[in-house]
Amino acid sequence: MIRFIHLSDVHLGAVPDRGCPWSHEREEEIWETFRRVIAGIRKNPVDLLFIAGDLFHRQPLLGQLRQVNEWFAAIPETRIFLMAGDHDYIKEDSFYRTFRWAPNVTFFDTQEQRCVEIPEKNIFVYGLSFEHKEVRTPLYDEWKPLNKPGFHVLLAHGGDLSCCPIDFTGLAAAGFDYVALGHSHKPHTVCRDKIAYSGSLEPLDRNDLGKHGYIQGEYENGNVKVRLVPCANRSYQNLVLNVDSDTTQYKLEEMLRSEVMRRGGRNIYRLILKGRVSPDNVLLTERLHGLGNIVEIMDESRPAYKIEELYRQYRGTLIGDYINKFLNKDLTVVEKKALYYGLQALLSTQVLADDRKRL
Amino acid sequence: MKIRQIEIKDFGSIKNKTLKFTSGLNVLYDEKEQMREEVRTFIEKMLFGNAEFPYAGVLWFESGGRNYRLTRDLHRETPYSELLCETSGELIDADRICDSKVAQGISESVFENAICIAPLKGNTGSEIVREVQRQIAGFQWSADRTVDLRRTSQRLKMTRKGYQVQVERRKKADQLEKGKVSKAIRRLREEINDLEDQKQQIGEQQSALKTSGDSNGFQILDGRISELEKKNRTQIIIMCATVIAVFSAAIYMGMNMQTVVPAVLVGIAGALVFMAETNFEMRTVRELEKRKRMKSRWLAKQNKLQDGRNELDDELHEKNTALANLTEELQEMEEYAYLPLIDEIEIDSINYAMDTIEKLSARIYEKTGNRLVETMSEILRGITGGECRELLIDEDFHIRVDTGSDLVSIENLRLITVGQIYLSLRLAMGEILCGAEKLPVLLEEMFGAYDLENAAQTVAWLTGDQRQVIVSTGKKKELEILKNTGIACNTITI
Repeated sequence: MIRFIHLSDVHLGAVPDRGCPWSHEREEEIWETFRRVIAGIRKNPVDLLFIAGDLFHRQPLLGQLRQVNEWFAAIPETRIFLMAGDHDYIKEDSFYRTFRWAPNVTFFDTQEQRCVEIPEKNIFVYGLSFEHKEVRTPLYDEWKPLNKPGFHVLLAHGGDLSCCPIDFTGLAAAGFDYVALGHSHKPHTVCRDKIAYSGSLEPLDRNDLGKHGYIQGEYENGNVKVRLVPCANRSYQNLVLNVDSDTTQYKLEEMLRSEVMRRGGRNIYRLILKGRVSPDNVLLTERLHGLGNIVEIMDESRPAYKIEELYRQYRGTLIGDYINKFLNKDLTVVEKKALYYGLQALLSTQVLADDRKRL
Repeated sequence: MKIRQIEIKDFGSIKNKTLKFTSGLNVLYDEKEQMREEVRTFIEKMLFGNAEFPYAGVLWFESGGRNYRLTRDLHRETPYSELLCETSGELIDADRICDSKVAQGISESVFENAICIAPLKGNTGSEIVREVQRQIAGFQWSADRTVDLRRTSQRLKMTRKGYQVQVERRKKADQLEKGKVSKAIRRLREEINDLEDQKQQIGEQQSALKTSGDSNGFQILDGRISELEKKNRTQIIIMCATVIAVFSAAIYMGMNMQTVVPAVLVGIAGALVFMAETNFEMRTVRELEKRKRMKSRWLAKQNKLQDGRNELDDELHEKNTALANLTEELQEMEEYAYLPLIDEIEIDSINYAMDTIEKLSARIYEKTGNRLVETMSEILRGITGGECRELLIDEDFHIRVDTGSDLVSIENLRLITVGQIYLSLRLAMGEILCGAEKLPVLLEEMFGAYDLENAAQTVAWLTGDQRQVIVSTGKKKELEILKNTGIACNTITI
């Protein structure tokens, strides 16, 4: 049985959410999580470690390469296969070109297709590295494994139109036992137990929702079994709060506090407010930023107005004209928000005269 | 439009009550204000249908020369409403009166602005004057006396300010981060310059070791050493030749001459020459060793400089890579800064709302601004029997009345005249909002402070204009005044 770990898009050196209070902590956590994975391998060795590109966020510095190499050298029983992706592509003067890796590391150092064989275990690893930031031509579509018995693994990066397009149907039929993909930050399987994106080891921005970690796999008698092992320090989550006519500022803050506490105070949230609030309650969303790691607030809530009824009620006056300006047409986001902002301001600042008292 | 009859089946505290109205002056008399208020609200709710509580009743009215019957029963599981044109037998959607041609399609807001009129209440005369001014301004710019555009604008600006603070904070944070990266770039550039300087110094030191032309220190030293070695070898040969020659000469003389003196002398002379040659040779050897030491020192120095230069090259490479990374990062940050923030979308929306309100308001002012003052003047002239000829309002809403002999500021007018100005404002609103068809007016204890003459004049003008007048009062004195105006008065008790 051959045991392997597949990871990608570690983006060492990235500084997520620049300007936010947790930004530099996140920078450290990316290094820490990678170190933790290597420490885990040292404790419980696997035969192979595949790193499918973008180990570094930008061009690696010599010091960074030495640090990583030192960690790799600490797991001599594991053969490591490493490629450069579109973020850490092999520039002309890149340290990748001259760096001397530990004996257990194989770095694919050109954009030429190459196969590395481990004869004693019948393992064949195919790969290449990006030598340009933008690779818009397919590099993997014509690639087929050697006609030899053993475990054939392709290490690949890209798969979308902007970065090395891949014909996944062709790749699935090419004959590789496993294709370890990188580039997409979201872990997902393209072909069950055969082609998979491990996703980024740590989520890197507010769009990297869901679980993040690495893929652990086993190869035995021609069969591959893989599973995602979550190991990220924290996650980005969309936190939807439904507000209603009873929601006040205090209640909203309490809702957010308890929800953040329930989901985990370390996680980073994009807060989305939905529902219809009472027009009399003014919700100050800017005050919510301090109640957790809130990276963004999207206020999709609306005052609970019945627009058509209000139009009938105020027809012939400024309020009626204002509503009419927005009625019966497809509104842009700005127009839709403007309708409610203007209407709420006009209605809430009305001066009720004595003869307008209602029963 | 004229209300002919109402049948209140169930509305608040009133049950099964039928009230009939004439097309002229009607006085709804009840001491309980609550009851009168319920009748007024019943008419409004019947016309516009919306209610927070169930009720039932029928309203008969005339509009545009046609008779209508409006029935509502909101007690039913499915609320029932029916508007029947009794003249044509046609059924009209009762919930869309404001969308139809019935009663000029008036809306609830128009009803409240132009139909229901009560005297202004205030603790002082100046409070009442201010309220008149506010309502005139409100109506001129919004066709609704209850709208306060100044407060609306303040409210929107306050909301916008909240978002602007967020945007500024965000941009400040971005700027701070950009500043940090820029600072790091500057520091790296300085370090790179320092390293370049150091590299240049090493280069100069390396050059200094060279002499002019193509040769360098190493070649000179090497040449000198070769020369010395050659010289040393020659000296050794000469020394050997000297020893051999002296030795041969001494033997020859010793064998061929009877005395050994010349041979000894030759030997001594030979020894002296040999000693002199040895001395020269030793000097050459010392010189040679010195040159060799110099060569080795030169080589060590050269190697050290070269090592230093190589280290600097590595360091420069590292720094240049870090600089390129940071420059790329700064560029990305600048590109990112062009993307709109969510808060900026909110600000755009508020700006759009403010802009739209301003444009619509300007359009309303164009239509109603001057017309309101003209219509008010005309009505005021009518209800005061010409006592007030014209109303003048300047840009600051300072109101003056032309009495024919004088221009009197509103602050100096009697409260009853201020009340008449207010009534003319409300009636003018009706004229402007409702167009050709005269709508009824529901006056709430409007004539309480009037004397008989004023009341008669006002009612005469109102009814004389083919307008239905319904005065709601709980004061006997007001009822008596209206009865004594000489105008046919239909008294209705609840």
